[in-house]
Parts: sequence; structure tokens; C-alpha cells
Amino acid sequence: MEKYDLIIVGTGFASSFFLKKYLEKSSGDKRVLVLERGILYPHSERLKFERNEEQAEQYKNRVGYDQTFQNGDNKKPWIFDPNFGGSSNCWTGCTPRFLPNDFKIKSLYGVGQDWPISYDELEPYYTEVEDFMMIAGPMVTPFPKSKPYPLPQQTLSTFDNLLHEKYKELYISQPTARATMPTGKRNACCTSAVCGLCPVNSKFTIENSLDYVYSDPRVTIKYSAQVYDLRTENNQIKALVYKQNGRDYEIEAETFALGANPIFNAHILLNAGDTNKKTGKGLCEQRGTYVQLLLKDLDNVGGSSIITANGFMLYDGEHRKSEAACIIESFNTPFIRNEPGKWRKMARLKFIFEDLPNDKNKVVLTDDPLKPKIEYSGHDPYVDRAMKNLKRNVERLFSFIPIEKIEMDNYFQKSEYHICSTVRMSSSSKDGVVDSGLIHHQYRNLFVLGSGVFPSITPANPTLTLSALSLMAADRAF
Amino acid sequence: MKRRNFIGLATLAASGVAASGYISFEKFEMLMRKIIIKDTASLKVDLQEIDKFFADTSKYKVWNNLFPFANQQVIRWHYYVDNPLFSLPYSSNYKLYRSKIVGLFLLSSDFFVNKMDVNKPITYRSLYDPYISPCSNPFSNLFYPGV
Repeated sequence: MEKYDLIIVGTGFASSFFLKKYLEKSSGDKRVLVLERGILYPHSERLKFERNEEQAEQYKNRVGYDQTFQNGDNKKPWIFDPNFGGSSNCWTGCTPRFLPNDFKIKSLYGVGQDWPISYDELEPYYTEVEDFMMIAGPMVTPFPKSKPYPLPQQTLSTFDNLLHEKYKELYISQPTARATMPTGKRNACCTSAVCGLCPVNSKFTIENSLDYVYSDPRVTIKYSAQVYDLRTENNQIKALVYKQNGRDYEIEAETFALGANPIFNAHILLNAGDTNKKTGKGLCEQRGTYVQLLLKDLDNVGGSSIITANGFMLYDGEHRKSEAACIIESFNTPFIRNEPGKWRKMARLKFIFEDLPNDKNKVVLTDDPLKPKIEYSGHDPYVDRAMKNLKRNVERLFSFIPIEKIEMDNYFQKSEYHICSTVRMSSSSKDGVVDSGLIHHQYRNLFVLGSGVFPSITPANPTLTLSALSLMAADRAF
Repeated sequence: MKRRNFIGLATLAASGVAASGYISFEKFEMLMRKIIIKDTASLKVDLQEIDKFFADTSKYKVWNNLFPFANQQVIRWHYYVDNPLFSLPYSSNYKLYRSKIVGLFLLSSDFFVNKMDVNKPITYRSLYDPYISPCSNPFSNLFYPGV
């Protein structure tokens, strides 16, 4: 049987940054196998789909995310891209860091679970990811930074400028992987505002910036290869099982890294008979809701990129003892206010709340070893309490701005596209599945990567943090 | 029941059925046209420009992609039933959909590029689609440098 030094599952952010660091630190004779369940669905072919142009057959028949798992009674969608590059293909490119207090919310606020690492430990890896992704960001931020962002910030709109003047570092140009100037294979963002698939290839993706790791002579990549099981022996992973073109394969390695998404990392562990009580449990994501501010005598124009700013005024503080932290996003899509003479006298804000992982929300096995099932009963009341106070908070925070009317959606968006916390990290196996180095508490040659390891999810976008965690894990281990 | 009352009720019921049928099955494009004409009445819009817009929306099947059946019904019923004293449920959705309809027309014209100048006649350019014409968000810094 073939044996590799390292086998990595998946090619998204978590896997790719882990592989990048591993290759940097390893000798030339190492052999790495990467197993990707999907296909390479290039940016150019994705654009053809959006433009109603003819695509080749292999792209027409690709698998959609909703065909890969069974959803339970609650039909809440869990959205991702099951192809090469994973959700780098469909993310918006928002890259705020977590705040230092996010790592200790149990100690500070008595809710959720602390991380077994601190902000300071992760800081160098945040910087490394930001430099590699060529993040555009402001000079002043609500989180400490050891180095400025590599690219200048996106431009604030007229509305954002008022808020930045008032709230300073708590209302900033959003740190983003939507480049403000051409870099590498990426063009400058020009505010097309359809970032799920950038028409000018500006946002960072694995395909446009990290694909080279898969061309390294030490690396072999196999497509359409779905890993679904592990063979264990004496608290070690001995081999991994995957299906390709209807056939099962078993393959051995010294070290394994699960970098599928949090649903499938948990599913693989459950299929392997992992007895950790937390495996698969805690599934959650943030909850978001829109608010429209109808402005008096102010056209909201001149901003760049799809989301111009992040507000941190409702993020950290004593309120987290009883209600969820919230991050604000200021949108710059070409929305209009349908009133003559007031066409753009409007701001569209999204308020995004953290949820608390709850063991009742989980990934479970089904009769089909390739398909997990989601059992989701809903978000924590912690989120609802924050939602209940939102109108009062909006009135308070924006009272200095000339506003004619505040229009609240008062319902949550179906998804924030951030699946988290099914294999949480912890100091002991009682509280989580992996340790502070992202190594499984029981299987010591197995890394579990991605946002599934987040003990608390914070309201901020997870990609930068999960990428930094991958760099840290590989840096410490190899 | 007296014959006169019966005829009155039957006429009322028949009128209700006919009105419901009209609201539910009126060609959706016709309704979109009414909305755009009504909501841009304060602007200098020639009907020929609206015709050009609808020729393209038909060609690219825009409305069915933008508004699934349920959303179309929300738009239809609100348009005909809402009045200053009464509004059907989901009025915020209706408002959003209606803004999208008018917004798509205006984004497809030169109105926003001309900085919302109400004195200039509006010319239809091409269907607003960032995948066909990237970088065309008229509210961005590219169109408002240095504000």
C-alpha cells in the first residue's frame, strides 16, 4: 500500500494555508497527497455560467452543496462550495480580525467557552495571512496589530465618513481581501458588488493566489475523491478511506489533516468511531439582519467595494454577559430608495450577531456513509436578546446623523455562510475535540482544521482567523 | 333571499373573482411597466426608452429570475390592493421588490451616471449586469472621486 508523509483532505483556506506552511518547513523528499471531493471549476468557467454562456459538460454536472448532506426538519441552509478552493470561490472577502477579548468570553463575560490560545499567540499568523492575501485595510483598528496592512484601505462613503469621525477606531474601512490595487494575478476591486464571483478577479481565492502549492513536486492532488472514514490503531490514524468514481480506496500516511468544512470534518470523525462527546456538536453560525436608514439631505455615495465599513460599537463590552456581540457592515451595493429626489439618500446596514455553540445543534451519521445529516434546533436566546435591543441601539448610535426614518427588517437572514464549531478546540478532551495545536485530543497524528475548531464564533468573519490557525498549527508541528 | 339581493351578491362575487383573476394573471411585464412609469413620473423618461428596457428584460428573462412566483404574487396584490388606509402583509418585502424594479431600470439608464440630474432626459443604455459590464456601480468612488 502507498504511504505518504502527509494526507490533506480538502483544498479550501484551512487546507491550503496548512499545506503552504508545511511545504515551507519540510524537506524536498516529503510526499503529500491532497484529496479533493470536487473538481477544479475555474473562475473563467464560473463567469461563463453567470453570463449565460455555454459551458463544457464537466462543469454543467458539478455537485451542488445541498446534494452533499441531509438537512433535518429545520431547513436552515448551510452553504459552501464543494470544489477546488472551497469557499474561497464564493466568499465576499471580508477579513476583520477577532478581538483579543473574543478568546476569553467565558472568563470575561461568563458565556460560551474560552479559547485555549490567546490573541497574542495568533497575532504573528494574522499578520502573515494578511501579508499573503494582500489585505486592504485602515491604519487604525479596534484590534492591536504589529504591522500595517499591505494595501491601502477601501474608500469610505459620505455616510461612513460621518460615522468614522464620530466613532474613530470603532467604525473603520472594512479590512478586506478585495484588493485596492492590482496584485499578483488579481485586479483592483472596482465595486461591481457581486463578490461571490468577482467579475474582475480581485478578491483573494485559492485559485488565483495559492494554487502553486498544488503544483509543488512533493504534492499529488486527486479530484472527485471524497474522504469519508479513517482507520484507527492505538490512538493513531493508520489510514484514510475515500471513494473515487464509485470505488473505495484506503491509503496510509504518517500524518493526516482534515481540512474539509466543519460538517464533513465532523462526519469523517464520526464515521471513524470517534468517541469524543463533543464531536459533531455545537454547529452554528452568526445571524444577520438588515436595517435601512432613510437619510435626510445626504446622498450615500463615493465608497469603494461591496461593503465599505465595519462598525464595532456593539461588539465588545459588558453587554456580552447577557446578549450577543454584534459587528456592523455598511453596504455599497447599488440599492436605491424608491422616492423621487431621494434615490440614494439611504444607508443599508447589516447587523451580524455571534451565536453560542450549543450541543443540541449537531452533525450526525445516516445510513449513507457519504452523507451526514444536520440536526439544528435554532440559535441561542443570547442572539434574540441582542436582536430585541437592536432598534434602541440603532436609534442611540445613529442619532447624530440626519435620519428621516429607520426601517428594520426584524428577521434574520437565512445564512451568513459561516459554518462553525463542530470540532471545538479546548484544553481538555472533556470540553472539545482538538487541542491548541489543532491536533485531535485522542488521535495524535491527526490535525482538524477550519472554523469547526472555534470554541466561540464571535460576530466577525471567520476566514482570516481559520487561515491564521492553520499556519500556526503547521508552524508549531513541523 | 330576495331575487334582487341574490343578483347583487352574485354580481359582487363574480366581480371579485374577475378582479382576483386579473391581479393574479395579468402579464407580469405589464405590471412592471406600470410601476416604472408611475415611480419615475417626476423624471424625463420617454416611453420608447422604457420599451427598449423591456425588450432586453424579455430577451434575458430577467423578471422570472429576479422574482420567483411567490414574489410576483406579493408585488401583484400589493400594487392593486394597498391604499393609504390599508396595506397587505409583507409590505417591507413589497417595498424592497418595487425598489429593485425601478432601480434596475434606472441603473440601466444614464440617470445615475448623470448624477441624478432631473433636468436631463433619461436614455436607456443597456441592461445593468456587473458580469457584462463590471465596475459600473454608479454610486462608487469611481463615479464620485474624492467625496
